[in-house]
Amino acid sequence: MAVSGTAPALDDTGRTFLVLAYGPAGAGSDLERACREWADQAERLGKDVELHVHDRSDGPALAHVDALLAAATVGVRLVVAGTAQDVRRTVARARRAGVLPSELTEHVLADGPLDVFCPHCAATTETSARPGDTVTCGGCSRTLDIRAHVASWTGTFLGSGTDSEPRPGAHTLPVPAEEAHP
Amino acid sequence: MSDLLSAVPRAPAGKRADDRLQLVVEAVEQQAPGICSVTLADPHGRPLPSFVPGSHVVVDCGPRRNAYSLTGPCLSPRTYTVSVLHKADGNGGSVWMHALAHGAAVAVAPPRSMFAPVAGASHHLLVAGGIGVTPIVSHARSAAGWGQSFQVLYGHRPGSAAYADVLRELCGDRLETWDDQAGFLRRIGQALLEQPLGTHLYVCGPAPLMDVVGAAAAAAGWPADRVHTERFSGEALEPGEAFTARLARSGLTVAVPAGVSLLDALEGAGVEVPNMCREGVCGECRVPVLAGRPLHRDLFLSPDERAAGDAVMCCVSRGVDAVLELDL
Repeated sequence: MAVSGTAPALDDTGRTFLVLAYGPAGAGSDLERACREWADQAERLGKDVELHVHDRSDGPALAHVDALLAAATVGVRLVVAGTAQDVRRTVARARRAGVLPSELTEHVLADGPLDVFCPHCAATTETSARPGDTVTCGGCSRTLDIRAHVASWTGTFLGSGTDSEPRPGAHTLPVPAEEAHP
Repeated sequence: MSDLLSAVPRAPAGKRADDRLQLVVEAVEQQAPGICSVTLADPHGRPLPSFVPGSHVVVDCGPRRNAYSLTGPCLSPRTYTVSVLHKADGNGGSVWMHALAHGAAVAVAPPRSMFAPVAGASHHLLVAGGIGVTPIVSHARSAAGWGQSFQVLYGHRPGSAAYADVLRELCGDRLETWDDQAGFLRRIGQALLEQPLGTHLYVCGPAPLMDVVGAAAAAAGWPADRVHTERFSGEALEPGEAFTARLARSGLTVAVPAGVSLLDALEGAGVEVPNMCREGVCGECRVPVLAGRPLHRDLFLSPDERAAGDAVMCCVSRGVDAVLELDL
């Protein structure tokens, strides 16, 4: 997810716009400049724009996003801005709410941490590590390789165990006791 | 094996080398003034191939082959039911269908899906105009059966509401019907503004209705990938400019005069092209293009496929340039 310097233009085929932004939006910040551009463009188009800015994509912020998505109607275009992690998390919520890629505009202002999904225990662990690195799973304490694969519906990178797991091909199901000792 | 899989017939009933099902008329009934329903079954009572909701079959109607939507249950059905509006000034297919009697033999190509429901849609907004109700009945039946969120807006002429009873039973208060066009269009316009995220729109009806609803959806900000249409007839087309088709494989050069379709010209030159509807709807006569810009006039290709310019539906489409080179 590449960081981009300039704010992408709004998709003018939308009826209304919903901007979901994260980060410092003080005067002179990149985010403030981007939000102003979107507000100006919407005004030129004669269309409504709603701006919602949160510090970060934490639980309360994402719950607010879910509520906004639940109240939104077809015709809206989403603009998601923040760190790559904020964007991945929010796009995942939007996709689960039924938003199509054609209704989404992403603006990544900075890289930042990422979320790793553990397929062994289903926990998600936040880390500053990068794909190719390892991370300790916050759920089961396994060491996970971080794969360069993001699930768009969860916004998480895929982890896979590096230790305490059978080698590929050596995986066996536990044998019921009565079969093991007939 | 699941019940679903085991219910699918391994060798679909009545299948022949040419793929057409040889069926017999089990019932003909008046659905509404000028609209009859024809129920077809395998002569030996075997189940018919399953189909996706919104599918149609192409029926051999005497000298013509017409596409009709299937309105009945879609999983391993015992019968196929189609409904036909009598068109005295049509191509003769509807008149032929209306003359069918119990026990008559009818050849039917297996179901084709070009108007499928979108899996994962949070809500289905189904809009039907007139006899365009037939694939919508299929969608409503499936959505109701699977417990999906949906609603039906159905506009029809006064006293000519085909399938209104069936829909009422399937949909309950999720069905709204209109017999005045202004009220119908107003309601559609309103509905387009209040659908939850993730809704998909399906429209089937006369071409002017489809155009109006398509334009209203676009104006309401609906992206094209949320809007699904089923056109059951091509539009009247201009004769177009004369051009030349150059056939790369056979080395033939075929002149295509104004007013003659590329398909007719190819057939006239002895070049056989598989085809069915001959009005730009079914997608059967797709021909690869090697050079020259196509003038697309079909209803089949997606905008991306049109832009790629590497194929044409030769029954209606032509060349922009003087020469269109085809991979034939």
